[in-house]
Amino acid sequence: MITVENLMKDFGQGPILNDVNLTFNEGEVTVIMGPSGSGKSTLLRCLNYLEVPTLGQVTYHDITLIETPDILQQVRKEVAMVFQSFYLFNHMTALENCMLAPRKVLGLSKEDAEKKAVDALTEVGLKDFIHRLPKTLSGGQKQRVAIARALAMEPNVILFDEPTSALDPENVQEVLQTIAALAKKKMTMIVVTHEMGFAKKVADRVIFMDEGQVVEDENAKTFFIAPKTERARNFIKNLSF
Amino acid sequence: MSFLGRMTQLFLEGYPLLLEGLRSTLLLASFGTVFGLVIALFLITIQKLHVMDKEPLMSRIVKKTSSRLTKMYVAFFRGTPMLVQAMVFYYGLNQMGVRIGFFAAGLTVVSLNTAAYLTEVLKAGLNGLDVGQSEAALSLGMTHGQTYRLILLPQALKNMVPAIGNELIVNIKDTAVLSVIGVGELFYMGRAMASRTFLYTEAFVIVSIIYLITVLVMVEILKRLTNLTDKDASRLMSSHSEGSV
Repeated sequence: MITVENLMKDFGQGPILNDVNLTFNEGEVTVIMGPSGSGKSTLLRCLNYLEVPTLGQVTYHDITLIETPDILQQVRKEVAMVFQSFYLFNHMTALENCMLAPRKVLGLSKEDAEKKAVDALTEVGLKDFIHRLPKTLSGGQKQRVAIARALAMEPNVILFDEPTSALDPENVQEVLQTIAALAKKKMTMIVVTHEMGFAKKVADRVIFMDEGQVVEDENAKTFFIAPKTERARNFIKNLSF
Repeated sequence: MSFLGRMTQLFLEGYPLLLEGLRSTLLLASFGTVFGLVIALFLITIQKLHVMDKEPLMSRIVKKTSSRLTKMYVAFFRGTPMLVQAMVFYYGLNQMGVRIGFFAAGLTVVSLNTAAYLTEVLKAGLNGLDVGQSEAALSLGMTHGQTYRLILLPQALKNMVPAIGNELIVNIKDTAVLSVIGVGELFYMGRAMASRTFLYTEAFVIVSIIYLITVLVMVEILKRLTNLTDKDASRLMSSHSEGSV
């Protein structure tokens, strides 16, 4: 579904990503793990071209990504993203946050967009909060609105960039449960996270990265029981306290 | 007759003239601020035009050049006194054979000047918004134009309401310098009154008081307006309100 070939990204201080080759499949939940600075988020951001690769190419179905408005829009309306710090539109209510892109990008009527937005917010358990402004919501609620905003586009894939890293501990669960519920519905998801427990439960596949390269690319069960490399073994050991 | 007595008499004789001047001052300041804001929006939009990675050379050059021109414009108007700008503008036009009324000339100078300041305010307001919201908008498939228009600009404008109010108040006072090109605003009228009666101190004290009252009233009006927009926001805080979408 998404193919990455010879991907290289260099911000000018040595490569962040170095020759990454991957294929992401439909209906699969892939978790990307690795120490900070290993290039996980950069890889994720290259998949929808928020980051333009220095070298290599990204293909979504049969579209090769290039930085032109048409191509980017075509891909991004099917590849949604959820960010670490939510990035809700602060001047809009939860409902308006979820309606904007369906109206402006998919060209839906106000009624249709509103229906999609309400459905999406209901799905993440925020039916009673639709007229709230972001500043009146907790971190966990904000992140769920962000997930609803992605869902309202009815995407084929959702990219999650450390979705719980900016949350207070007591808010982490509600967000992880929301994502787990999507996994049950066979939503294709690529998740950068440090949440081991979540990864064990939800992931079909784990990609372990270090220093800009894919070190392991493994079935999730195999990865957690018997990581192949020393580097991954240490990483898991340190995470599990 | 005492100082106060002379002042009262002068005011009673001259108030139609002063009111006429006050009217001009208020018109210049308010329209100057509004036009300035419109021009500032135009200028900042040019400065913020997004250049794509693989954009054709020609359009890249056009974008970069126009952005640089707007920056020069801002530098000129912020870096020179409005008094001098008024002189250059008025006599410059005259020399080129363009006849323009005092009021129109004054309004143009205030507007151009305000535009430069508000461009900077807008720029600060836009830079203050975190880049995350634009990334979120882009990731949903919105264009750079839509992101700018629907996400960034509305928030920057809302945040700059106090700065716009401040600019209006500055303009009420600073339009006094336009008297040098013969614009019949409040200070010009005061000066006319002074030189006719030779009661200089009295006339200018009267003018000061009128400026002061006008500014104080304006501050109060702006304060109420700001409170009003805040209430609008708090209405949306309650989850069960039927806020329009």
